[in-house]
Amino acid sequence: MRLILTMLFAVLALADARSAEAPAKVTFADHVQPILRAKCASCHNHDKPSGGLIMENYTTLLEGGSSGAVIKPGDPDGSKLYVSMAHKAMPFMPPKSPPLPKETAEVIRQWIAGGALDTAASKPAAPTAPKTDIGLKAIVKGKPDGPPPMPPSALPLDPLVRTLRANSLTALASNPWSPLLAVSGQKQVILYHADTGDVLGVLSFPEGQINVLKFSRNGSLLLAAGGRAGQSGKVVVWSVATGQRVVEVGDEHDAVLAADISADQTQIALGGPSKMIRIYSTKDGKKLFDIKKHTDWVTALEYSPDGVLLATGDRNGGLFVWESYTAREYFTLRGHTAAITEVSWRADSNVLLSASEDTTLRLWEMENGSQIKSWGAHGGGVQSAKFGKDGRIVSCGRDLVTKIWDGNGAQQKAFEAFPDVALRATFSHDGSHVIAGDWSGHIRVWNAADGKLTANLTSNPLPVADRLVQATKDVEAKHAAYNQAVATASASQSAAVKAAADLAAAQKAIGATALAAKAAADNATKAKSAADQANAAAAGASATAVAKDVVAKAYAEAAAKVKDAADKAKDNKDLAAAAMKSRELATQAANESAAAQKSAADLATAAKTFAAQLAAAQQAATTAASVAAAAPKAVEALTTASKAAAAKAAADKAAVDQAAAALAAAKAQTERLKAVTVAATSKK
Amino acid sequence: MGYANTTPRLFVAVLLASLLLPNFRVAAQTPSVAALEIFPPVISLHTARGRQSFVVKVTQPDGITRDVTSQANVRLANPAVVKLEKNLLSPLTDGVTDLIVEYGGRALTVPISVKSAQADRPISFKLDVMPVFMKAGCNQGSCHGAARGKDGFRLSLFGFDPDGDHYRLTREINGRRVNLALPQESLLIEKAAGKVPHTGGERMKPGDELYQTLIRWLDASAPNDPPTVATPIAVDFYPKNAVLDGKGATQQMVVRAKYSDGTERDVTKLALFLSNNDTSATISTAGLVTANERGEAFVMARFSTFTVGAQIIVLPKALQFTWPNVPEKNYVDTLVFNKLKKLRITPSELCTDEIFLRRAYIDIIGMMPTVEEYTRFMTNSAPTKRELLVDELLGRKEFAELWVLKWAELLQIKSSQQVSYKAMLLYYNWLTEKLASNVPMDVMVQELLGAKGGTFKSPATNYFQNETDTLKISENIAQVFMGMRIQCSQCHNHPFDRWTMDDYYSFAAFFSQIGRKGTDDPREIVVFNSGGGEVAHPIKGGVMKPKFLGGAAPDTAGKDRREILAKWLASPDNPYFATNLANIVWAQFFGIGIIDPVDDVRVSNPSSNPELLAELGKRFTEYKYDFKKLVRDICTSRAYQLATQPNATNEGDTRNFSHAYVRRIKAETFLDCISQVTETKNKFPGLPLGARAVQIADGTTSTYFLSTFGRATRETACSCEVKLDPTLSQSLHLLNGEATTQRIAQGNLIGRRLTEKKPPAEIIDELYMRCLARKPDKEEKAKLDQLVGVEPDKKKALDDVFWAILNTREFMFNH
Repeated sequence: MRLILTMLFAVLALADARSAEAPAKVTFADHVQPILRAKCASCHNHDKPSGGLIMENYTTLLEGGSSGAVIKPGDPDGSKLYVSMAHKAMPFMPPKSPPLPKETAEVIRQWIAGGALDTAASKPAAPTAPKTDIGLKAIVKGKPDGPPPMPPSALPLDPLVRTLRANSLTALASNPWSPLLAVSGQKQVILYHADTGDVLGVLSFPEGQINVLKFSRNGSLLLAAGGRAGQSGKVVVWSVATGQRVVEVGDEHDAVLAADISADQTQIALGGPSKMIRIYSTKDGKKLFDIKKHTDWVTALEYSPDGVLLATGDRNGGLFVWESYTAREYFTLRGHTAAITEVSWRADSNVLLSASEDTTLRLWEMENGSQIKSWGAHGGGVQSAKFGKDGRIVSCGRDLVTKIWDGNGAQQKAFEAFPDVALRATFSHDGSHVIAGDWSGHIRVWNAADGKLTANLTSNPLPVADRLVQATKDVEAKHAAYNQAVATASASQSAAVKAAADLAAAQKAIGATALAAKAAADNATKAKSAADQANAAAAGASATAVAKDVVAKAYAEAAAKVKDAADKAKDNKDLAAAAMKSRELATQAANESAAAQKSAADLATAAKTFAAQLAAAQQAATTAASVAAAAPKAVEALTTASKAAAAKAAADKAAVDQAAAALAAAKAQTERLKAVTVAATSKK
Repeated sequence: MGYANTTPRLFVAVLLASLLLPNFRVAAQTPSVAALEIFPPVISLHTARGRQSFVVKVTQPDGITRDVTSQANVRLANPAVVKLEKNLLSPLTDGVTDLIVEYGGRALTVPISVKSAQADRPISFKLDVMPVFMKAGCNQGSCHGAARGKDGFRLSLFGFDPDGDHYRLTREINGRRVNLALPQESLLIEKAAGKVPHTGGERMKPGDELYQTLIRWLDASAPNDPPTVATPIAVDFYPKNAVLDGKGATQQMVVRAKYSDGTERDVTKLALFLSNNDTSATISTAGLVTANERGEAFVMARFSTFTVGAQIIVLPKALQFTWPNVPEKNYVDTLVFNKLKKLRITPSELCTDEIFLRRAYIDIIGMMPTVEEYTRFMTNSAPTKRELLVDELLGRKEFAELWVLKWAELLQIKSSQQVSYKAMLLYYNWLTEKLASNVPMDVMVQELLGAKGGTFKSPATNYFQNETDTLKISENIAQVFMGMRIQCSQCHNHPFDRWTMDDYYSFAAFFSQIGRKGTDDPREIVVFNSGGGEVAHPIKGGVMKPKFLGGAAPDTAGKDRREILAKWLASPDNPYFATNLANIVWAQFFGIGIIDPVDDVRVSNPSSNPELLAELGKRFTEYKYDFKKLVRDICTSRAYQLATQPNATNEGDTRNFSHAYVRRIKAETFLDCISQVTETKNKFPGLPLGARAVQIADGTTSTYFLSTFGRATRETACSCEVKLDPTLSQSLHLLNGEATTQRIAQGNLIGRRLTEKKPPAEIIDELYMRCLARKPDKEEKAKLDQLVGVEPDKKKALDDVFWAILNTREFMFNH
């Protein structure tokens, strides 16, 4: 028995010795608060003090809850906090969960046993002062002085978190004064050049998911808000020019869903599932106001461009306007019947735009707080809507479509639909482009004027090295394309030249055929007149021959009669002479007739010859005429062909130029990426 | 010290040996096996993700069952087709083979078929993901299944609206609940796994099957299913019953779902398990039943819209039991005793004639036996005198009156601002006429539900004047005539039964064409068939075609829908009508239904003796719905005539009728009994002096006494309207109120008897017979004689005795 006791004492002594060795004191600030924050404070906080107990800070924790103190310094087993946590007594905490790890409970035990200290004396509580005072003395309206705010070249270009696929686009912002886009990635902001589509840098947001991205009114700061849903939420502000975090505010128990920085940069407002609007000072990070008015999650919030007002909207359709410097209610804007998804101010701060799941966009004036206009914008619900600097509105929603409206709600343009719910939309800094993204992670850039797609962006970019590989491949592809284009162009060029030559030849040929046709026609005319003459001559000769024949016959008859008479009166010399004479005359006439007949036959033959010649000439003339008629048509066809060939040649030439430009761009991008890679390597 | 050291070691060795020995003996013995079963009886695996667990159950000759899955010799005819790991089968290649199980000299073969063994099954939101929310409890009524959700997030209760749930999970608040890029950092996952504070705590662990299913779904970009996706059409729960031997005995259960595309899946890991009696048997989330205290439990598996149950009987370890050959009067006894044999319960003894007399009078006619009736019965020596008494009582008009009261409660006969007293009176008279002339129940119900005409001329139409809401009418009819509470299904699929919203609105469609119009008399309306009007489904939209609850969809085009329904409802085609009425009748005589409450028939509230209920329903149908015959069967059974005193085996029994249950007498009957024994008269509005409380027609008419003792307000059709719970005000009323002291004085029974010069002892005997249907025993007699003897004012003393008897529990209760 004694032995056992001795041993027991030894063990106890050992334990004592060990605890004596334990180094630093366990304190609330260093050890306990992180545990309580992670495990308890979501139910025991200022907004939702379950059991009247607030475990957010030392003072309220020591005050205890509705059933009294939960901590008795020095007596862990008499402290409700410890026994509940260690499952030594009901109620077990956290509810409906397995007990916290032994080590965790042990920390609490040691802390209480050690007197439940707030902080170790060596580590006095000091508020985390911001690194720089970003507050402005005055708000400058319009374009700020100095160069357009762009991020430094020193920012990392590799994504800090790379995933298999992109998440839905949760936040998107466009710098009002420079071609700079901020896109929400996974625990990071991706900065894009709005014109080239190049990644300009990556800003880390290890706090969790980004639900809000906003540039300050002068474009010099970028605000991101979000966090780990159900656990913690925060707002972070970077200087665009340096890429450094300048302010961090917010200490939420759930992700921040809405936030903005005032135009003079002295205030940051945030809201989320706590239903509270909290306003912080950027000067010292202290909370200025808590506004408890919303009855549901705060989902949208924006400061007016003049910084005087703050508009906030909630998940239940509640919409309020506050005076930003006093947090006093300015207007309650009643009308929306479902969650507000975004609020946006017109540049003159006189009109507020609200977007809601009730499918409407509404405009409110700030004189009396009345609704100016309400229109159904997106079937199923509006997800995002923003005023451009020129008073136009860009919006998108559950109908998958992104739209531009004029200041009165008349639709100006609707862009090609996304494959899924369109979530965020914004104008580029000069209003020339619209950038929007959807649930499935697509991000598109369109030309606002003609609706042409100019770029696809991603919230999940490749690392630079991979991008370089891709760009190199791209250059190769572009090069091949260029070569192809050049080949095509030269082919089409020679085709054009040939076509032109053909045309010229044809044009020349046209004159020759016309001449030939004319000659042939003349020929035919001549042949015709010759034939006509011959015919006439033949006809005359024929008539002469007939007449002569008649005469000859008459003479022959007369001669015969004379002869008869002479024969009868043989001695009648006269008669005989007459007979002789008449016979001579008859013979002469017969001769003449024979001659005339012969002449007539000759002439008829000649006429026939002429007629044949005429037919040939006419045939030749017809042929020549048709040849001459066909030639202009051929020319016409050849002209068209030549023109087409010339156009193709020109187009191919242009294509070559384009391919050359694309190649140059690709080469340039490769060069940029190479330079970046080199810079990165040398930095290492 | 050395000596001291060895002793405990020796002791431990002996202890170990003694502990191990019985085990050796068990292993060495050839277990006697009466039956060997394997569940499921057929195994088919589909796709590479197909899995099937099985259990092997043996039934010993003594009826005890054992889960011998791990001890049985299990092998495969062709091990190339499936892989066998413990009791889990997974596919290797397409084909068929057999699972051969040997145990205790018996062998069984289960056919296995494998299809698409190489193909992966794509994740399905409805078939894979939705069951996770039910299994993990996310969509139960106290959590995100609440009508307004919880902490800003809502799921449909038990998943009745999967498309809505998909929308709420993925797109209601875009970018919040799911993260497609980093699935394990989705709020859905972090909350469910308790990685961030969650009011509902940790519902699953990283890496477990539920968690993996959600991750797999998110990895696939959280898709919804095409409309062509298969739906579960049936769920099997194995084994159907088990008899466990002593605390700690276990039985693993297997749940299998059949789908509309012909495939089947093992959903044991996805089903939600419940036990209706954790005292006797608990069931773990993995489906392992563990025996606790002696008794009976009904364990249930819920999957999709199906709830299926299995009966578990838990007996004390190594119980020795022999059935004491109790005589059986009729089929009621056979079936009641069959159940008791299963439970190893010996029924109580037969009650005495005196107790039977009082019990039968109160139960059958709602009155006390008079002194003459008592004497007549007690002096009757016929062996069948109990049967004769039942027959005699069934012939009395009070029997019908008692049932008119019961039906008036069920039909909610009650005047109101809208319903005139005259209409109610006519309605009541109609009911009285039907029951008094012993009209068969089916005829009466058909006349009631198909009623048309003026509420004065055709009083049955008042049923549709009392309640004018289409949905309420259909709910009431289901509850009263079928014993179903389908109210839940108005807004979501019934959480603990088979009824879906489709069933609900299809049934309601029968009552969508009731026309009502006024007459010259403002108190009367005419009920007619309007021939128009439909019921639409609130979520799916579209008109619902009339369909019998749990039956077919009849052709109603151009016909009176109510007539069609009435014809089906009160007919053997409706499986619930006869059993429901039989159960209501049973509950009247035993104080508890075979299904209890009688109007809450559902899978998760099983019948304590299904065979008995089925037989009663069958007989009732055969009797052409003449319930007098049914009452006779019940009242002449030995089960009805058992004593209330329990024995060692049936002490804990409250549901199996192994002994009679002590019951508070219903308000109306109790008032009538008090009036009867004190010989006083009641005056109720609208009724003559001396009328009995059971004769009150209008539910609005009540007295302080009746209200205090729980008279039905007839505001709902629920069986819970009649309240039999004892309250303090009841006791105080009997002690001090006008019901006892004043009535004793009013009736002046003692005064009259004293005037008749009856000796006090005789008067005491009469009081006992009047109120308790027995004579005082010797001890009581001695004490009372002494007390009355010392009191000079005999009337005062005897009044006090009377008062005391009226305040005994024996008087207030039927036993």
